[in-house]
Amino acid sequence: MTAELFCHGVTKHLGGRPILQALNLDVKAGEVVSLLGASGSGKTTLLRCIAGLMAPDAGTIKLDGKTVFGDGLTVAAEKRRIGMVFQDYALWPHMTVAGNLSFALQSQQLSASEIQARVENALDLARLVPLRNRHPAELSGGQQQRVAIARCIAARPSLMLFDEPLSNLDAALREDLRTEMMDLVRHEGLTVVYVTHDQSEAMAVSDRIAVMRDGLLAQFASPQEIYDRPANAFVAGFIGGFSALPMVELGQSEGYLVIRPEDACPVTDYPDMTITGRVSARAFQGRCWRLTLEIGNSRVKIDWPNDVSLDQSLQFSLPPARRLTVHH
Amino acid sequence: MIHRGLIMRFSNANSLLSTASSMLVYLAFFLLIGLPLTLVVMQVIFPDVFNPNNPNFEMSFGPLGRIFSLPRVYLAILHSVELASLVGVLATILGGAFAVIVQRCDIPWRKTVRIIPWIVFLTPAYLKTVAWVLLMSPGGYLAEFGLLPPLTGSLFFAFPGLTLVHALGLFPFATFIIGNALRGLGSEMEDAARLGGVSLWRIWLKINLPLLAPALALSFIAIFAQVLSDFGLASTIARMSNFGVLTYEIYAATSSYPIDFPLAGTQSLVLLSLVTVAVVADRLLRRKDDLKLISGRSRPSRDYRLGYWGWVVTVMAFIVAFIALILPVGAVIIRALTRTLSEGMSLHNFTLVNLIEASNIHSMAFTALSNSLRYAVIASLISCAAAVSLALQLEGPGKFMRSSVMSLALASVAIPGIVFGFGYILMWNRLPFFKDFSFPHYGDSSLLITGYVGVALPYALIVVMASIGQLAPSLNDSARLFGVGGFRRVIRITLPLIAFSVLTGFILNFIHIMFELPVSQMLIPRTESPAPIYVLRLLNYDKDGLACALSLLSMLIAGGAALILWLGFRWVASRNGAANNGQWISTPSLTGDR
Amino acid sequence: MTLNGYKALPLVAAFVGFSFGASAADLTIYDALDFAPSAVKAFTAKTGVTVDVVEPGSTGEVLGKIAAEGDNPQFDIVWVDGSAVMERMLRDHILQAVPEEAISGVKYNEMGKSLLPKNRSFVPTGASTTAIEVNTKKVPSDQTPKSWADLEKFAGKVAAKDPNLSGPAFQWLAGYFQTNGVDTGKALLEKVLTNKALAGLSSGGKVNKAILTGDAVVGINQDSGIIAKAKAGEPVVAVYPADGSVALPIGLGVSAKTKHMDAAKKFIAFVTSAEGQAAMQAGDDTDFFFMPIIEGVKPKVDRPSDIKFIVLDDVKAASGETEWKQWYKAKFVP
Repeated sequence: MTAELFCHGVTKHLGGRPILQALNLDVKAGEVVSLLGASGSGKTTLLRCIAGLMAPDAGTIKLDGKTVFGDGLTVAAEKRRIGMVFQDYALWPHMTVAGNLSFALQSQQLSASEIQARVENALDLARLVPLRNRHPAELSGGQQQRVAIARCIAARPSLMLFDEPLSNLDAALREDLRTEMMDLVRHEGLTVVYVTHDQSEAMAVSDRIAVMRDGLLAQFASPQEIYDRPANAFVAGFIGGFSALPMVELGQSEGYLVIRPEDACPVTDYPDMTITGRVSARAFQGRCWRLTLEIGNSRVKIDWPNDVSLDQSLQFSLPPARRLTVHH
Repeated sequence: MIHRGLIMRFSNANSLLSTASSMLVYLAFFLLIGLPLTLVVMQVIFPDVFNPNNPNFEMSFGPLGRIFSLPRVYLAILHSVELASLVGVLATILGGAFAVIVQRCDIPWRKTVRIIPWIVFLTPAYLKTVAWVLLMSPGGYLAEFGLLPPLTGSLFFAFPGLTLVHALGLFPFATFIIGNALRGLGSEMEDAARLGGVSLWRIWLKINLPLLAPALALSFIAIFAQVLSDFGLASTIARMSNFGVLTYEIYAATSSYPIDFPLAGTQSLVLLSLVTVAVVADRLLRRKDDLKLISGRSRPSRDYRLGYWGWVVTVMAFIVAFIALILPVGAVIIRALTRTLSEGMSLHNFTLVNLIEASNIHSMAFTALSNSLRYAVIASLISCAAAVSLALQLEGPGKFMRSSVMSLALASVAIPGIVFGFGYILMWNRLPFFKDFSFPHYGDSSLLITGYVGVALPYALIVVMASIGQLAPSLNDSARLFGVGGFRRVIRITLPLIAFSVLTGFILNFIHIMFELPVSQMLIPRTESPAPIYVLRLLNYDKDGLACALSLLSMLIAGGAALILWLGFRWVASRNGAANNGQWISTPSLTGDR
Repeated sequence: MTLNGYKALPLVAAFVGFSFGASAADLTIYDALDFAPSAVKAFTAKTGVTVDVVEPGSTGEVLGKIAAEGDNPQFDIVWVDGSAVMERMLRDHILQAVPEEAISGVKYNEMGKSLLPKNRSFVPTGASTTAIEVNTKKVPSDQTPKSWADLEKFAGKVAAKDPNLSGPAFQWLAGYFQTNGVDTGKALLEKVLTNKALAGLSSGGKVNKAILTGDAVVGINQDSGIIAKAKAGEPVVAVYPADGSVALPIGLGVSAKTKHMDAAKKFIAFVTSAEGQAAMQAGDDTDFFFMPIIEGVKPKVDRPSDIKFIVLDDVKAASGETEWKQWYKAKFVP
């Protein structure tokens, strides 16, 4: 039921522009990998290529060691045994919740009783039993999402793809649903590729994160690794409010200093480094204040224990262990 | 485990089969519409290709030159475009208003207002022509009631009257197209804007109307094309003003022996070009992709509460119904119940003779009617099946193919039926391969039915393509990933979601064919002649009374059939537990593109 | 994305469900005459020859169909009002000359003999002419027009057919120009047909309707049509103008490629016989009131005996046709 995914050299051009450029990706069985990037970075395209809804221009895609695309061979989307949760959930509006689940299973060569059993199981797991006879139009967004996931899981796919499943939900709902969703997924031990543009979401759910930029992988590592050692300024800028400060502002010639907001501390703690900036914005975050400092031509965000008025000058420092420099 | 070569061969065979069936569908389209039209139009440049004495392929630009040397022609083009554009705009607005009122407002008598477009739709154009002449002539019914001031009469038989009658007759088409799109437009974006303090008018202006733009454009162009191809209404109603239209030349060219095919072909080319210009202009002005409005995220839309204004709206709708429907149908009913025209509505003129003869099963009238019913059912079934097949086929290749086919369908709506009729005779009686076909065969009802399919297909195609275009592709994609094969996806997912539109298309075709005249005339079978010819003869020989009675009967039957179909549809939909009459209201998908 | 061949199924299935047409009869007739079904019924009853009567509409539609069929005609006999079109069809080898023996046996009266075409392009079976249709309720009897020139008094309320759309209307116009001279004729008409709404009607039925509803008070129409209306109780009367009018034969032509010449000959013999002519008068529509041109056949309704008939010079008419039709279109049709 779980499978490993192997993508090698996947290339795709759309409308003359390169969307994916010789991308390599491998996902181990049972692993959850996020594709993280801005709009247009190619994440949805890669997902659709994996699913078989789109054919790459070149490359190889293997599922569990078997080639599904490559070497002149293409396995149709219908046969790949991949489950996908679409951004708009793609629930069939004219079928009930139970209908959606059972229709999904009817093309899988299962006996009627097996289908019935799986449907009941999925309804149960996703807490959808009281909603089984409703139509999608009668469900809330969160409920629709649960149906979409339950539908996929009932089919016992070898690989699950998620295309920004939480982006259409209220912020308040997002975290709860995310937890619920991942519990289900982990419970079944599925291999997952999860597309999102929200880095905190990616950090929370993944075993590894593939940060994508313009069709290429900027970094492919565990969340901890990316957090501690972002590979370059782009990744650094993408993650968790990090700032990448050009070293020229500090009198050096090249490179960037990665500043994590939570690492900023008073100069008195580590006097060997002093960074001076001017407060240009401040926001109360409960635990602390997030200040935006202007340093030369750049901006940096730091968390500060107390409020500082606008246009005030402020100095801070970083612990030695947290002074990471990257290139470009 | 499966040998790789076998997989390759299997997938190759599969794609070969699918390519073959695609070709078959395009071929059918070509044979039904493309080739007959080409045979007429090609005579513009090859005037002698079908000359009975000396057929040859000599090229000549004479006909083209001839047509454009007459100032009369430019004027006619201008008039036709003027009329068609104005009617297009008016009918789209009126039709759209009906769609919005019925779907989004809690007006009183909502169900009755909903039926109005359908009944207007059921009334054939030629009958309306008869009716308005009956009403508005100096000696007509309204004058008898003293309701007709002289000025109104003469204003009516001119451009304003013609525009009014056309718009009031064609707005249902707009209602169906816009109504279909509206169904997919949820309230979410509106609600968001309302919360932001935007007034309702601005919401419609800035949000909803742009979202409905594809449907609005399609309505306009379709109605524009229909008005271009009209001759009957124009020749009867616009007689008093200096308002010649393009189609006159076609009828003049084809009313004697020998027929001036090159001239008819040239005129048809002009009509085709006008519609193509409209379509291209639309594409250029509205570059954005058509949004997919029916998706897997469904939220119902809420009604506007109008309060007292609801009554105003309903009354206005009834006024439209009165003018568009009750007046003309009333005139027809009166005429059906009276003996002679000159005695108008004097009491002793009333009689049931006409109705009795029309419903007499042994009469010629009734036989013609039953023939037409049979033809209409068969041809509509084929046409809808072909439209669905072609529309599904076009979901693959991409936007350009879809646009082209839609444009061709719209352009062929602009061609008068008589040109189609000629094209069919040329194809199935003169062309080497086709004339020896035994099925369909010229002179048999099989070819008549084929001709009906050809003229009706564009309409069905427009309605079905517009509706399939509303479906979010993710609905199909997700089914694919679950292993659901192509045929099953069509049957279980696509068809149920477009079922209402297919039904609309079927009824559209059915009515169109029941009252389709020129094709009936040109392809009349040796036996079992259809009704419209019979009705025309009655009208020509001034047996208006019987003609009206027969037409009323046809309308009742067509209406009854439509009602039965619709009720059946609702019953099936409710058995499947679908909400809301089988119309699934949903919100726009934000990632509409593929 | 790729659907399999199942898609073609609906098309194939539907095709198979067509209803088949009946097998052809012994003889196929294309016509635009009211009495044809009646005549055919009597014919079949008498001779046992089965006939398919195909009536697409008015003369224009019949001619259109024949023109499109071109060198592969599907009819055996064509039977319509008019002579000029028959000549042209013969010239184009769509019709063949009617066999000598079919015509020589018919006893035509004076009028009939004058209508016989030299090249036997058709068999005349009857005739009609153009007359002035007068609404007796709107026009007092002392003001009834007596000649074409009198129509000038009613300028603005005269209904007429468009010769571009109606063959008989063109033949009337040609006859009018023949008697009055082209330029004088044109000038006269311009004074009469001052109302474009009424001057370009597409059929006799429309002329009738215009006169009966009061849009027009007089009109130029086929006399059999006027007589039929009068007989049915409508307040119209046919006035035969003193300056004369063209006699229009009802012509029966034989297809050049017919395979049923024997049956055709039998049919011609029947419709020119007393029995056939009686069947052709057994009804109430326009064409039943034709003028008989065969000895011994009485008309259904007597016409005045002093009608002046003009025989049309077809050659002259043909040569002026395009120009005259254009002129009419430009002057009188919106």
